[in-house]
Amino acid sequence: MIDETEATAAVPEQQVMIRLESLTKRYPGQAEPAVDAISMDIPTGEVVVLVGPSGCGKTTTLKMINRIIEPTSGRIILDGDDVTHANADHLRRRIGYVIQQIGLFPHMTIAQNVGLVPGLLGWGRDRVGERVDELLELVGLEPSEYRSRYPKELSGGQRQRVGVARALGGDPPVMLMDEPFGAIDPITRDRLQNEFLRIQADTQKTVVFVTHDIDEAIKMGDRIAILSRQSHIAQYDTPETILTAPADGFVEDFIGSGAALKRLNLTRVRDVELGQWAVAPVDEDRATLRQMLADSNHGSVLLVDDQNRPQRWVTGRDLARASEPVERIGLPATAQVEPHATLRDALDEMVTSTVGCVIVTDSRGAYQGVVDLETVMKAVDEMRTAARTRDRAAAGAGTARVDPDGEAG
Amino acid sequence: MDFFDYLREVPSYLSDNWSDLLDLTLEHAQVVLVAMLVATVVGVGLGVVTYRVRSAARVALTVTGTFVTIPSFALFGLFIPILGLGYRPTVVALVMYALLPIVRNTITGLRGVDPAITESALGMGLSRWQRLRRIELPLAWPVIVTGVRVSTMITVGIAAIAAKVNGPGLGGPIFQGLGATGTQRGFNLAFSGTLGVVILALALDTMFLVIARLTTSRGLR
Amino acid sequence: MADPTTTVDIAAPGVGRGADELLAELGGPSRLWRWIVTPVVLGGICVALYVYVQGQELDRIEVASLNAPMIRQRLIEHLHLTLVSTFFVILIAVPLGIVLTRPWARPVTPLFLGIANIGQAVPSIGVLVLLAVTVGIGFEQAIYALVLYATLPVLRNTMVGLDQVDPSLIEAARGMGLTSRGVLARIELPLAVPVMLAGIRTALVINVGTAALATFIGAGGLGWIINQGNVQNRTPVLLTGSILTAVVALALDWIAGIVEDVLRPKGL
Repeated sequence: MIDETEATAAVPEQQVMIRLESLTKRYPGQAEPAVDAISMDIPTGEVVVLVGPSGCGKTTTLKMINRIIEPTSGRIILDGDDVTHANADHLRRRIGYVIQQIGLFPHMTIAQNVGLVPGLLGWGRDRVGERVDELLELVGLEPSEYRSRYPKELSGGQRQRVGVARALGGDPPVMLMDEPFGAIDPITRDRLQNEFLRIQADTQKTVVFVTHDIDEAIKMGDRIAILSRQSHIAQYDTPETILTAPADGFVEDFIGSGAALKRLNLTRVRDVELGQWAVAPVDEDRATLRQMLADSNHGSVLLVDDQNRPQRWVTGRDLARASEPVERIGLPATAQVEPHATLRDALDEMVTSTVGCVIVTDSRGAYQGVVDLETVMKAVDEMRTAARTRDRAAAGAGTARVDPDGEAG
Repeated sequence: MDFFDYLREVPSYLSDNWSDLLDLTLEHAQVVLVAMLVATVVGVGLGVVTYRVRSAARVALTVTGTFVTIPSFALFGLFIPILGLGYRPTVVALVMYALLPIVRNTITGLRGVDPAITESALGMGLSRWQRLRRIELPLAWPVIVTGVRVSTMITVGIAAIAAKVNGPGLGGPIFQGLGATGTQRGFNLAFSGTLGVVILALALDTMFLVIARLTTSRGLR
Repeated sequence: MADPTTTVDIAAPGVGRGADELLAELGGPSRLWRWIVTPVVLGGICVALYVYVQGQELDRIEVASLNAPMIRQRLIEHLHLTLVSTFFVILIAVPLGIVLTRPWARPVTPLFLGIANIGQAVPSIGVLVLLAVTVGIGFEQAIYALVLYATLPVLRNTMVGLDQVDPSLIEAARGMGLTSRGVLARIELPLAVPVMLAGIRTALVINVGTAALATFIGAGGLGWIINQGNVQNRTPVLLTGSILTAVVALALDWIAGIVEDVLRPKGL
């Protein structure tokens, strides 16, 4: 178990946005505190994920940061200020808060929901309106279409996007998120996670994120705090370190088996070299297409529309069928991911792909390249080699550790 | 003469006396609306003050519930030695009667707000008063307005009894009719009074229905 | 709870004259406490009233109203009126409510609910007087009026209560092989009991109140004392009549509450 000083020592003083000092929450009538003197530093601009089994107090810890739950003892220091006893309402206007059930106000329009905090902070009407539009666009909801709608008209995924936009309303430096994607179906959740990472890349907020899902933690977090009972910190480190050097049995158990596959969550598609495929506009003539096929060493050509968005895969056999127009032959190009998706996501999509690779598109859906199985295998291999090297070095230094995959040598 | 024989003569009575009846109806409406206004302010206020504390809410509900259980005639009677006869005791008694549905619906409505909504409002930094005014009350509003509607219905009927203690309104003709049982005139009076009460009750109810509609956010309907 | 925002549901559960559901949700002191406090308080009020009246110098007119035999007579009349009318109300409203909620009666249900809604707007005194004017005065006529006035709320309660039974329960029961009658008897009625009990309690409270007006059509009751005190301008009489009427009403409500608590099926 890591002791408190290790958790705080890693980060230089001026880069700490949130410092928790021995935060404790004790409920009356209970022998053990729900949260027992947790101390940690949350660096500016990073996503820190609190993850742990049910009942470990991670949500309680999160809620003590914005004092939805008041700590029994300990201090909260936000950007250098001790806010443990400051005015709670004012504190919360500086912190974005997203919860699992979202909690959009049903009697207000989307615009009113998103604009609430800026309004509270005294921004002028125009500035609030601009901010609302800006945020709706940021979360992928066309402002002119969604401003005047009501929450009941939106799907779960759309509502959660609004929830995130609303939390960003007053441009707070800090965001607290409590299992925000928990109540959403897995497909939408995946998409929302990717979107959030994209937004985070733009906005660089300091985010504290609670989840019970280690995969989500690995995907989303710059740093992960694995919490055991009463929010004792089992390990507080980068995802890579946690996966390759788990601190103790509890952490290992929590990561679960298949660490190699989990490591695929550490590499993002944008970090690997993309392969290139033969690409042609959808209105290209067949002769040219056939020529491209012959020239490339792939079995098909990818057709894109005028905005470079992938439409269909076309094989030689499809081209031979002269009777149908080009845009209708072949199979639709469905397996697509964005650059900040993880290799794990890419692998998932690849399974559904018709040609055994996944297309990488930018945020507008335009073709950038492909990721195939070889690329993924290469990345896995590199990670395992690195781990093996570390293990051998550690064995040499006398602190042997078994590779979590149970592989020898 | 039976009911329908009497009834046949009523239309001509009504067309002759509609002006007086209208005056009485307006009188009746006025005392009801005044009582409802006071009852709404007091009732919603009580609900707002007590809804978060169970014991306080219980007390408020039990007390207003007791008022409603006491027969209206007895309540009027109790006020005569203190407030005399006429307008004032009528209004006070009507207010006491009207409180329960309003208090109850206010408490139910406020307590019924989705906790996720109140938590996110809290997390956004809205103060206690702001949460109440901008989130909880608007969301509880449909339920509260229904309570006011229900209350009005009850109050219109009880106000008719007030005539016995010299209160205003349509109770007058009804009690006058009592003094002339077995005659056409008696029937005319009683029927016109009753009819006036029914029409007024339905009209006020419709009015509140419309108000409810107009004041409820589109996102809630 | 029936959606309180839809109809004018004066006597429907949750929107009616009581706050029982809400009070149940709010929890609180144990039943025993509630069972005891009310009679103690009511008893105390009666004692205080007695002491007050005894302490007054009553003139002849007042004594004519405030003597033990007279009070007892009026009390018995009042209870008589209340209980008989309530009995008939239950007899009519509950079976009618059951009938009107059967699937085959669906088409007519809106009509009845519409009539019930309008009926709610008719004042109790109006019903009493109209009846008196047409069929005359007396005990029997008062019973007619009381039954007429109280039937609609109880009918409505019964219908809403039966409607509120979760349809999936009924479906499950039919799926297990229960006949419609079996479903009614073994599922719907037991589950609707709390609501119907509430309706009966409502009928009692309504009737005890309307019975106070029965004096105006010659049926006596405690309202007679109140009226005497009013027209003769005698405060002790007025107060006695009013307080006694209020106490009787609250006492009956308390008894009905206990019966409700005792008869409610366990597990609901």
